[in-house]
Amino acid sequence: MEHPAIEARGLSRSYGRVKAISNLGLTIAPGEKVVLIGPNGSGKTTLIKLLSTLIRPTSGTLKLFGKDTASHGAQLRRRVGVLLHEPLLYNRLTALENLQFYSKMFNVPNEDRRIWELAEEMEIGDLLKTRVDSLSHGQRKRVSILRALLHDPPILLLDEPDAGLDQTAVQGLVKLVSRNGRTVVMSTHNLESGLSMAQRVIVLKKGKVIMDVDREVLDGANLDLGYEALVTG
Amino acid sequence: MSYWRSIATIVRKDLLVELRGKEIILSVSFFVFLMVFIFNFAFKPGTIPLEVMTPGVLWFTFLFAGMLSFQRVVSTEQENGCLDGLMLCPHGRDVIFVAKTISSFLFVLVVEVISLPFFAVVFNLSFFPVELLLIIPLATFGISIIGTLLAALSMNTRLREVMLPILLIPLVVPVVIAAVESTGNALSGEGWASVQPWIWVMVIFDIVFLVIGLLTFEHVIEE
Repeated sequence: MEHPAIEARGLSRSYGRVKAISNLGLTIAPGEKVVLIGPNGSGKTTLIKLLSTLIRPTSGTLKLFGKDTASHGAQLRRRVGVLLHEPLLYNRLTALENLQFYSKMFNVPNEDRRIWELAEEMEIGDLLKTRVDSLSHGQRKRVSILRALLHDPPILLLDEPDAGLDQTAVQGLVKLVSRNGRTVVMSTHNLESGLSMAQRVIVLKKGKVIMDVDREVLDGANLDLGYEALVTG
Repeated sequence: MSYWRSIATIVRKDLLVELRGKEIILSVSFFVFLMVFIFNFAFKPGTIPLEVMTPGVLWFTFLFAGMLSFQRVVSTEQENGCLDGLMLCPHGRDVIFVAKTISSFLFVLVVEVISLPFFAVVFNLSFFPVELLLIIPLATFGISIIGTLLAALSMNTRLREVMLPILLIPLVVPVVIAAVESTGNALSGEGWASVQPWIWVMVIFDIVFLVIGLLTFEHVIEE
């Protein structure tokens, strides 16, 4: 039997007295594209960080492909690509040097070829030899997306990837992450770009799942109003 | 990827970042030169024997130079969330600790190598005891282990510039005493026999704190 790509049971994470994620249960099948939406402070970023093994749950279990992240963290990180708010790039190095560094850390075969192929696909080949501190916010974001895809991870976790990107770049991103039967979990405030990629929509509020539905069930035209009512109600 | 290859990749990256900015080596070397210069004026020539004064001044200066370096080596990872980038790589957190300790050690060692001739001239040292080739790396490595661990611990505190010395100085007392005593014995020309017990103190200190660092670093950076 194939294991779920992501399986969380009773997952909680607290920061001091504040519960960012509270007793969350979640199962995501391999290849599924999930969009996380919710107001600020709803726990989207914390959930992405938990799924990426960047932080540990306060309680509960989290498994990726059937393996517990608590005991197989290092091994599982090879199978996860993560895009966070910050680009995770060294300012004093060029984009290419940053990507070569991460390629080595992930033991990517034919690293230069892989970097240039992805860069051409994302139309950022001309940026690779520029130092990161000379890149704009949007350009850094695109280099950072490339970084997350370098090792061709079967799970891709994206925390507001559309923030700071123009419409063309967002469309390119959706195209790029949607292929290869990759499991994608993406948090966003932009319902339109989120829904263009998602098969399933999860709404978080105060660290809890308050709605978990297939994309097809939703009426796109009324979603903005429905979402407002859901998170404020 | 093997454990040591991951460590080598991070160290190489740290060296490349430093090569671009030259922040640590230039500023810390300048700091060391200033310290030596000031100490030279602070002590009247002939009042204290050189072999008594020099080891203390030398290690006091290197310790403070180290503190500046450790903070910088760790804080480099804070810009653009790069520490998260390292933590998302497929290796244990201990790889980050060992790599950062080696980077800190190398930066401080370079500063020491640059400043030693200046030291020799200012304090009128007529010879370079071969024992220092073992004493300096051993003591510097011990200070770097604790410095890296504590720099990571104080990284997210509001008073990190103050926290590091407050935490570091009491913990490195054993290795600094061993370094000062052995350097003094070496400069007096007493030979290996007088230096050897202190060398063992430093070796044991380095091993104990390396193990402590490996066991605790994960919790230090995750919280």
